[in-house]
Amino acid sequence: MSWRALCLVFLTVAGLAPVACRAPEGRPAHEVAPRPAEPVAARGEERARPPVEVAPARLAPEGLQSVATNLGTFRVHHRSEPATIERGKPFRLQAWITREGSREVVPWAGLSVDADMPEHLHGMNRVPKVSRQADGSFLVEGMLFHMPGRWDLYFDVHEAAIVERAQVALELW
Amino acid sequence: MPLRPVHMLALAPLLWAPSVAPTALAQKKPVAAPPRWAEFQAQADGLLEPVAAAWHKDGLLVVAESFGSRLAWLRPDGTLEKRTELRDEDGGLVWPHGVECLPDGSVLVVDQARALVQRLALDGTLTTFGARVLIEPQGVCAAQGRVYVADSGHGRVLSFADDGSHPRTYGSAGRGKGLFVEPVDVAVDEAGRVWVVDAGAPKVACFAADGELLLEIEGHGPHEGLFARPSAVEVALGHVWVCDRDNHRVQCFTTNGELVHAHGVHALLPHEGKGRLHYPAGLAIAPGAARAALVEPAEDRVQFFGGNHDEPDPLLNLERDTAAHVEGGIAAGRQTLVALEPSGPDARLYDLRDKEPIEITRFLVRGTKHGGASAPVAVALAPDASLAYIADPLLSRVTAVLVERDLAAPLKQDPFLPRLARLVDLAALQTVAGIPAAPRPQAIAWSEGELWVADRRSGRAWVLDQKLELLREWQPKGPRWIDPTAIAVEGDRVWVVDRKARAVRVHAKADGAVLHELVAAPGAGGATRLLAPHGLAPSGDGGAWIADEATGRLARVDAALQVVEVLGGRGMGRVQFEKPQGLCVSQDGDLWVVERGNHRVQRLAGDGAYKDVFGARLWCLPARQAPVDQPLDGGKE
Amino acid sequence: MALAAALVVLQSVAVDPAPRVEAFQLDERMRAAIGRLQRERDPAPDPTNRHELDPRAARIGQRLFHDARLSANGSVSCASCHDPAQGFTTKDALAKGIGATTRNAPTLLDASRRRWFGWGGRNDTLWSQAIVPLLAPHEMGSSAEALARVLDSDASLREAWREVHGDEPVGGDALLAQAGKSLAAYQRQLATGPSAFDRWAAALRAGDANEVARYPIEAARGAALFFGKANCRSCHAGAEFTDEEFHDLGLPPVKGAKRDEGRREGLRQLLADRFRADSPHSDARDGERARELAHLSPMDEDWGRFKTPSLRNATRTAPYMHTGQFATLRDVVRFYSTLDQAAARGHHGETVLQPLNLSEAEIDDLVAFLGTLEGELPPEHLLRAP
Repeated sequence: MSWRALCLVFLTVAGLAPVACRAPEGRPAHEVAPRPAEPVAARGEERARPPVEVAPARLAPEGLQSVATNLGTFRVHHRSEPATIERGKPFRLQAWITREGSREVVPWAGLSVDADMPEHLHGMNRVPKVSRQADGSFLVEGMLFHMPGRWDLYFDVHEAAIVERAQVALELW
Repeated sequence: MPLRPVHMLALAPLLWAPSVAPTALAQKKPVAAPPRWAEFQAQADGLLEPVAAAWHKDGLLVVAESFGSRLAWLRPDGTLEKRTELRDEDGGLVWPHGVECLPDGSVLVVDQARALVQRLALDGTLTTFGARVLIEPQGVCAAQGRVYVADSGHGRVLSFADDGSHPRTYGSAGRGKGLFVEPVDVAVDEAGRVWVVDAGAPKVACFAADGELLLEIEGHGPHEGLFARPSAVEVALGHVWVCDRDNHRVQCFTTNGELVHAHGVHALLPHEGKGRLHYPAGLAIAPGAARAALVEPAEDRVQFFGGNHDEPDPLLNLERDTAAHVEGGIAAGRQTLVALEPSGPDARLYDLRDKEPIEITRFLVRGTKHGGASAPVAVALAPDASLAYIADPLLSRVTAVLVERDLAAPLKQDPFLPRLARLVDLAALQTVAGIPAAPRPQAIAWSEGELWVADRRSGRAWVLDQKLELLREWQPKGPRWIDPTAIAVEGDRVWVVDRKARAVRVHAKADGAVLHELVAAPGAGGATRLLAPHGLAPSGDGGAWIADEATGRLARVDAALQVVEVLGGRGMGRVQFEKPQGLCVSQDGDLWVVERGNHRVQRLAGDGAYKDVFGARLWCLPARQAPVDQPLDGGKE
Repeated sequence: MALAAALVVLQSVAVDPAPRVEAFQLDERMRAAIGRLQRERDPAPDPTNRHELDPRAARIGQRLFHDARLSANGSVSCASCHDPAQGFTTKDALAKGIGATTRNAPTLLDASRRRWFGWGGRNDTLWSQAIVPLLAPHEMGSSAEALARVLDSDASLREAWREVHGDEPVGGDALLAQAGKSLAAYQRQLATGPSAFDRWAAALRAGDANEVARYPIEAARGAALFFGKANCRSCHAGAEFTDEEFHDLGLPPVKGAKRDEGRREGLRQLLADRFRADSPHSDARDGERARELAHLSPMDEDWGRFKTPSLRNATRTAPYMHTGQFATLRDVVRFYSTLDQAAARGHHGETVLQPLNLSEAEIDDLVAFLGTLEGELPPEHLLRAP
């Protein structure tokens, strides 16, 4: 078991959120109390806020579209509303995060969502809001692709200090 | 927690004597039209990385030359009056940054090598203060009996009363109102308000003397009123001037934060000056605001400007720029080269199948979002060129980007090639006690499936696996790293360049012990010629290439850090180098040299012979780009 | 073959001394793409304005629109800058209210189909936008009090107002909101009918070769450029010919022009606007438009971005761009062709625009295509004071 997993186990027992994983900062007495930089929150990000009590494992629904993260650690199962994403029309997403090869939702993972047009070097003009749902999924609101062309939709899975990305390409008219 | 009084020798009588009621001053009416200083008067060339300046009471401009470890005293016509070598009490070389002149004629100099402020009295007496209180101090100013230091490592400004007591802080580290990413300079206006410029955010913040945030002017971009790595701030005549470095201009604001003008014409030709600006980083306004001096480290010069109230529309001074500029790190892998352009920021990926590199794609956008970057300064590439790793000290982050491609496929531009694989937030990984602020990863190297990341803040390295999972932390022995700009791992040895310590060291990988050290000593130019070592690349024969920014030389050293060969020297020609930084050796044995000063990359054969060059400025053609896919061709006639 | 010609437009040019037949074929993908451009029959309803479809409110709006008493000095009405005889804009580069403004007056034709209002999108509803010029010091320089005085002095207007707005509290912002909603009800009627392009697109959909052949060949060539090589559709997207969002073209600086932050300022104003879609004056405070506000956040990149105008009826709305700096559509197309004098954007920026290097003939074709986007004007009775 890695040190980070051990740390998480310990903190779970202690009822602490994983952001507390950073060790307390001892410092020499002569130094001025530092204020460490705030963790940088990405756009449309929901940091992992798992329940304190370990809930029974939830499963991602069957039959959804899914995509593996780029290093193959996780799989993001997702659906959009409306089902077809159209240029210039707002849409919502619902997403479940599992480990690759499993249907069990990863309780500790967080999600942030964004999108870019790599050809244009810009993304959306909206900041989507991601919220964790009671069923273990994430609801993503406020999405809108305004231009035609290729959009890369990003699902960034957070686990402790790591973020791993899954992405879906869409060509819109 | 109250700040302990710092060790400071009787500074009291030396600082600002007159104490004027701030409220009385605040009611002074500002001059209606603040000067633009558009009238070029003189320039002083040939300085050694001048970074900041201040006007002395005798009418001279005192310029801090960081590579030269000295002060240059310039007359307003640009000629040199004298130089002052800067040494610490033990005779070691100072790395000067901010500079300020006091009414009694003594000079305050920020020494980044030891993170403290030196005071040089006219009689040569040397005193210091701020030791062990400051982390990476940058700008300094004195006003109304207090000294103010931009304490960038802590993300704040620290001020001391004239007896070292009553310390006060302005701002703290972070992103948001009243918080700083990288505060680099500070100025105090007549009303006692404290103006701070944050290069990292970027923004200018104004605090009341008691620390209350009054105002922020923020935003990144090329447009008037926005900033791109603003690096200096001055106040005069009821106005605030900001040196907007990467926009090559100075912007003037009212104390209410309204833009009055943005002025500056970007130099495009080699060493073009005489009023044209190139990365102005320091600003000093003479008493009465009759003239201003702009310090340009990129050009090793200072320009003097006179006031001019009657200027043409500044909008018409805008010029079309050519491209971004290579700087910092470079890395090679199988048939692939990646070079960085931190001012963009940008990373460009080139295919090396042909005689010349062909640009395939670019990645990184500015910002804190995933896949974004604030200051990407170092890059490593997996040997099979499947993953590129970018170290960003301002975001405390290492980002892994998938750039795997079919190396035999026809060349074409591919904006979709780079895919963010992972990133690791090193601040969240930090588990070692006693490290006072966010990590600053600024050198990175790949070695046998491991990624070595050197952290300026903690003075040690993280060893990560290819997926950025932490394997272990590695603590070097010997002097604490100040500014590790390059790291390389070969076999059982770890090479590190510590730029501001002016040192190159070889450590034992096993226990971190220093096996060999090459360090500049006062007065020693000689064969080593290491004034400001920056880049390092193992040469494949047990030795390494080292780039020295100050001398423009490349030194080849053997395994014991003995200099075997020295190449180059400053200039724009072949095998000449202006401020060389990143180095890498590609799989064919060629050496690639990033020159910050020439905005270009030179390719040398393993024996140092010239092969090729590409860059991003008028005097240096960019690398050829692969063809683009055509959009719908529509119809036919 | 995938790109096999699916359609041939043939046109004889009889006036040529040596008669020739020009043939132009759109490839299959292009034909499908153009055929897909079918305009929604009606603009989407705006639930934030419950009077939007009330003809009585529209009638009040039409009266207000042409009423110069609403301006501070009695000389300017909405119609002064949005002249029905000039495509609901004017020939002035910069709109002139009771003072000088800094932007070109956008047309109000089809305004109710827009997502944002004003060049910087400082409003999220048509009715809240209508309040802005009323109060703007350089436009009409009016106030709620001045509006109340006009109502007080005009019995028929007051009676009409009461019929629509009933016993709603009148005064201050509530009165302004009522005025804005009435004006918006009128402006919703300023819809244009089908254009030659719409008929062509319908014919392409239906495979009606005769109707297709009616479409001018130079416009068809222009369309092929617009949707193809020139890629104008990238921003002028969809059947409305706008992506309803904001872009920075790096337009050449206009000497003497005031610094204009565009969307950056517009978004700041929108987020601070007391009439926004989730305000107490809105009739759908938690509707879709209101919820959208939560997803807007100022970005540095918004500096200098301006709303992509619809190209429908562009032939009626010269001069062009937010400063009116281009007199003709040909000038606009030529700018995109050369990006001559385009302002520096620093080392980086949006990379959508590259010089198109169009030939003069291609510029002609694009301008001809834009001409076919001119729709039928609204009925005559809406083009004047009631």
